[in-house]
Amino acid sequence: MNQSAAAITPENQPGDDEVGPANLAKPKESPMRFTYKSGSSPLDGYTIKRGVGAGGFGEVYYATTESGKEVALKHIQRNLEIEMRGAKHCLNLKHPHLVSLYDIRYDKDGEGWIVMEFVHGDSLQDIVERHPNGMPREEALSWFKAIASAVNYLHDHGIVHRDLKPGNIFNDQGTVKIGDYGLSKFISVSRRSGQTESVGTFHYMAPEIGKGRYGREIDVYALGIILFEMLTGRVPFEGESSQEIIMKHLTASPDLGNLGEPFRSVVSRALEKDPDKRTSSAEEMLEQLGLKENVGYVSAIDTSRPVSNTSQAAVGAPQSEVKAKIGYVETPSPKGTLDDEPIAQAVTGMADRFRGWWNHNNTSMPVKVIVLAAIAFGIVTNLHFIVPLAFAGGAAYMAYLFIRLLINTTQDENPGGTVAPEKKGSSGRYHPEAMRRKHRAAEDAVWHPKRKDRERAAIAVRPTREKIRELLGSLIASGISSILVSFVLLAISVGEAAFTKTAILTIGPAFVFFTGLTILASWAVLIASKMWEDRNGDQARRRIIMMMIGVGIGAAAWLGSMFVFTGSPGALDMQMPWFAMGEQSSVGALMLFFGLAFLVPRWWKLADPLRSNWLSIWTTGLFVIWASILTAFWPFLQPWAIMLIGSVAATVQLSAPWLSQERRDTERRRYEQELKETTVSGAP
Amino acid sequence: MSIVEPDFAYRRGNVSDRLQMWIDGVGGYMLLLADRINIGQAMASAQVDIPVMGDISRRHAAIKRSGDEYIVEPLSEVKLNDQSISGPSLLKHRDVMTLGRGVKLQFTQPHPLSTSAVVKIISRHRTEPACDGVVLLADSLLMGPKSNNHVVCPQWQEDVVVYRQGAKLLLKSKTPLFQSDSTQPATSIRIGETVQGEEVSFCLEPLGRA
Repeated sequence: MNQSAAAITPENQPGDDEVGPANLAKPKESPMRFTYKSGSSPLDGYTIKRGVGAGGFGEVYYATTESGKEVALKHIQRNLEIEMRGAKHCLNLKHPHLVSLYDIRYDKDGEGWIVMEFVHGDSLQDIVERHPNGMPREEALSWFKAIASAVNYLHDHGIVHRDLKPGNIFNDQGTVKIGDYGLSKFISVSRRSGQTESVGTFHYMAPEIGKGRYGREIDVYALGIILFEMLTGRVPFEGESSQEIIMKHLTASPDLGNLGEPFRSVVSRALEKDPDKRTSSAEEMLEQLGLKENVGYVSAIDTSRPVSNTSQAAVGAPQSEVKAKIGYVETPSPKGTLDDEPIAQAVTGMADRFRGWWNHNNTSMPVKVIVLAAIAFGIVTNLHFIVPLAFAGGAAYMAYLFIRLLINTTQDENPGGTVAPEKKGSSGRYHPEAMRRKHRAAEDAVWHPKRKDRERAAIAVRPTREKIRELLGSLIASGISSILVSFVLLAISVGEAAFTKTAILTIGPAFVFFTGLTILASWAVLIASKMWEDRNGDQARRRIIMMMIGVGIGAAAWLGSMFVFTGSPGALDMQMPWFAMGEQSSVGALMLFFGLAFLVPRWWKLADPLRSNWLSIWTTGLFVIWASILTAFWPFLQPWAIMLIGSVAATVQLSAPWLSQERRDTERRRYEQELKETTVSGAP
Repeated sequence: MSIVEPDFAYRRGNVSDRLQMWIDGVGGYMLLLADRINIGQAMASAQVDIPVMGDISRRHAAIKRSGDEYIVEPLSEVKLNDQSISGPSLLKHRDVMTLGRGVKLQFTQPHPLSTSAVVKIISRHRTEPACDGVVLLADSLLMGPKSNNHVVCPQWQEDVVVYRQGAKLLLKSKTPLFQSDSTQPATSIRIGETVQGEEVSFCLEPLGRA
């Protein structure tokens, strides 16, 4: 052959003739340097052939024994004691999908080595990279089944993997193998290992890891991410820096739009930010997907876990199996208005479940007849109140629908309104238009969480004790400031007459009533918004809760007015009453007024520590205007109710904590700094 | 043509014609330097170049290099891209050979400027000792991050070229590579000593026939 090989040099490489996975941009990791060279034998009986990789704990080598047995040798270079204890704990675990540990050895220098099964073949990461748009669902499911059953086995033995990621999962000639379990409390990234890890490590880290919580929920979270990644070819939370990714884990809700059911709900439940709300085990995830861990095992394993199998599998399995099958095709859900509506969904869901029970359950015929007869009898005999009740209910529901429509149309500009669906039915399905708009907004904002979101995340991580202290402080402050505000209002509206002696008799009770109501209302607002300040939440839900609070305040106002005003009717007739409530006042009107007053404006914004001004005259004015619009319908409330709303708005703002821009910046920076260092936080 | 001469000389000069290349962080590759290699079952007594642990004959097939081309000679039941072949057949890039009941080997010639080819087992079988691929080294061996290299090393930044000159294996790379404790960049490879560079670390080990 004439071609001179020397002509092929790195400099004049001909262009790529094919695009393989290796050509795709990969995060370049720092060059691999291994302590031991090929042919060396640090551990008696094993000859190192080559280095395989490095993790937070140390290096991994491929080695053979004299007789030719292939093993992987893990050289533990950091946290020797802890790692060895962890490995010892797992030494005798057996599962077809776990990389086996053979032995723990110490070399001449006292350094620790873990001898384990060497896994040939690609990692799941390689395979995911080969399917940039997601792998076929059947393949993903068979991977997932093996992974989840191995994780479930670990959990059953009291071990949390803590570092589940596609790079730790392998396809060894057709068998899925999970490695690196039981290794470390120091999740492979720690300050000590410096920047040797790529950004990828953070993609699978549950939000609570930053708080030092390492329950098995973090494995469920990682399983959710892995399932999402296998199906779509990308991870749900991407970013250019580790902080950015961690921020998304803490605050962003994943875009699950492209997943068909049942995957969407399974992933969304596994990615729940709150570990207590998350799917609790890998087994449960398998069940949700209509899979079972124990296929391929003989009965010994089945009988060891009777509880979950009888209760859940009996009801859930047949349904979810079907779901899993039809789940391959994304069913276009009908987009009627009623379908987005939670109550309607709940009702239809209940009806479906009832129908399922009725048709499939082996309920005997006589029982069905008796039930039907009882229901019919009950309806006929109680017709006199069922009919009005049904009318009232229908009217209330119509009103609710109308309000919901109003709210939904105004809600779309909600900045960063990221809502993790609480329950399957109650939210999460948006009108297609809104969906698209939100989607676009989310895409515009990709990779750059807004500063406000970061600030919010920063205040969200404060310990509960501090939050309670803050709340108590503001409750006390609100007591003082309501007295002051009410007094200022009194002075303005009544003038110098308020300082006369008789005023104590005439105006006194009304002043006490007014102040008391202000305190009550501002406490309600403060407490509610304290619970909401951590995150951007669903506005409709918040409004409804505020409305209920308002209704309660209305009732309290009525009760209070009974004491204050009817007790001394003579006082009302004196020439200078501050305000009075005549006969028209009714508990219904009061409840309606306060309910509406609290429903429409966003009261919790007043107590948000990240509001733009400590006390905004403009916002207070808006609240007053809304109150005066309302009082047009109930003139007897004028003018005191307007003043009351204004004073509550002012009081809340005065007493709620507020962070100045500098403090926000420092909080945010401190928080971001902590994030960088956070990963060692669980360490003893 | 006989398959293998009984006194097959697998050492020529200082280069064994069967080498195992261990590359840190990448894998283990078998380098075969002969122009004719044979594939057979991995057995203690077998004198085969690519010993496969599979249900195949002791000498199942041979691959012969002729000029820039490779020809497979079936010595037992061999399919080429699912077609049974009875005589020598030309191998093209990405052809799949099926030996016996399902040992599948894929033949690739990834780089247009190099005659060298790579054979990989794509069924669930393995060679003995195990390797990630067999390089039929003609003139040069290219290692680097791109997929048109014979040995793809995803984490490397630069390519490294190993090429044959007479009985020696020479090295070429943009960044200097060193062997043993020498401070002079290595230009030729000494068998059994690690070649080390900024990001590159590999070692060649002579392979006997078990």
